[in-house]
Amino acid sequence: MFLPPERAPGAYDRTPVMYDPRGRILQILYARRAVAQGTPSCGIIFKDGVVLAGKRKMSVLLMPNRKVFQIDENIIATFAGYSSDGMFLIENARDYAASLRFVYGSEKPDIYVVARYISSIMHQATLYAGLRPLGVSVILGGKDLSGPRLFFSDPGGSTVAWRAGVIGLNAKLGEKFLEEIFKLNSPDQISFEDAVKYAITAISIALGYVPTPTEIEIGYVRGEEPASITTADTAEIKDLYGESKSLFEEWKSKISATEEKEESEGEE
Amino acid sequence: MMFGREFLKDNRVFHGTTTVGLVFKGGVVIAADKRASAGSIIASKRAVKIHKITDYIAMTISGAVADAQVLVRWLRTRAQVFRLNVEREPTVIELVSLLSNVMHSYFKRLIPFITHFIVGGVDISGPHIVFLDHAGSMQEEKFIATGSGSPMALGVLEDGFKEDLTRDEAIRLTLTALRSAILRDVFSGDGIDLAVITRKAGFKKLTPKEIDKYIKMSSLEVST
Repeated sequence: MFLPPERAPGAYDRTPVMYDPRGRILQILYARRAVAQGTPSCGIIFKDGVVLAGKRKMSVLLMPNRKVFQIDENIIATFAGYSSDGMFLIENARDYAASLRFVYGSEKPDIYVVARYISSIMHQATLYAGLRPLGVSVILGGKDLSGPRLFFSDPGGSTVAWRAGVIGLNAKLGEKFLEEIFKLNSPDQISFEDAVKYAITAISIALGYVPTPTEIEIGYVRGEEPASITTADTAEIKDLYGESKSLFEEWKSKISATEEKEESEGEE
Repeated sequence: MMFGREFLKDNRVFHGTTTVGLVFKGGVVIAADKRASAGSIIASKRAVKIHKITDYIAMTISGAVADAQVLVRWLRTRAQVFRLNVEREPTVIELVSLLSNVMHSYFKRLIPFITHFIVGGVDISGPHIVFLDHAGSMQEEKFIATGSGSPMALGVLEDGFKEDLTRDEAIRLTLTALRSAILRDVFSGDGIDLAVITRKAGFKKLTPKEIDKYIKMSSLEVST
């Protein structure tokens, strides 16, 4: 029945309950690959809050779809990957955050606890042969009693605390840009305006172009205000959108310059 | 020890509280006294009986405090999840139905929530006041009172209520009704909480000073 791996090279990816000889769970790797095809989203912690940004699907035939979601008064989330899986997690997270209010009477439910809950649902789907790991990554952010917080949940079920990050298509390219920023600044030194600018730039870099303002959805939790979710064409964010456009061009020329340099060095 | 419906038969259970709710032109007024009684002693002189559920919907509670508080907390979470998932404010009837389903299912299992609610608010179709009893029956009203002082309050409301009251008239009528109950019912008193809900301003609780101002305007001059 069970063939040795040499004779059945593909057999280790049939279910998520089996490791391959190199210790990987291939179904989870495939799920991450699905995430890497999703439209990018970005999350950044700034001085007194969190900004999430994502590119939403737009077409003349579609009503506006969401990319950033409110989970509770102080919590927002965005995901990349299969949106059916994503919405399933979002709705569960809303229920769970509300239940934290019911059980503990908390005014601001703890974000790490909600992030762990999302991850635990994803983890469950990696433990049974009949299930498939969810094809989404989720960024959950907001402000709670411990201050601004940002968490990343991946299809394997792990939770990572972030300062900033990008998920989805070409996430690495966007994160490279954010790395440059956070090498020089701690979250305390980043203002709300800067964070919005960087977030729009990061998803533009991942996409390879700057989306239109209506395509960019931005959610933020700032100071003691409740969370709000808008698009980049509102009065407050319009100017920042313009600035991130030039940031994007700047970054693009910087990257192509270094690439050219590397190429010419290679020729020598 | 009493269980279920047996507990309801004991009329001590509903001894306490007067709450009033009425509809006026463009909004609702809900009000309640602040006395919580346990048998013949006053358990609290600052009980909170008006609870905000959403920005546009609030409720008054009467009966067993624990039962009421748990349901209020539960309803608030459900309203929040509704607002996030459906992306609009829930209507008054939607929230009352939710509550009614729970209360009725526990009533049928003989472990009822021993509470009466007035849920009031403004939604797409205008202002609404709904009365909800321990069995889960719901009845939309123009004006209603619950609790041990309700007979006195209802008498005043019956006399003074008319369609399309103004905001000030509505507040004064509510206060007169509540104060009549407080003056004659042993289990109501210790002050008044009053909230007005309108589409424009949403849920607004009146300050004690504002309430005093309206009391001075109303016809009853006897102090509580």
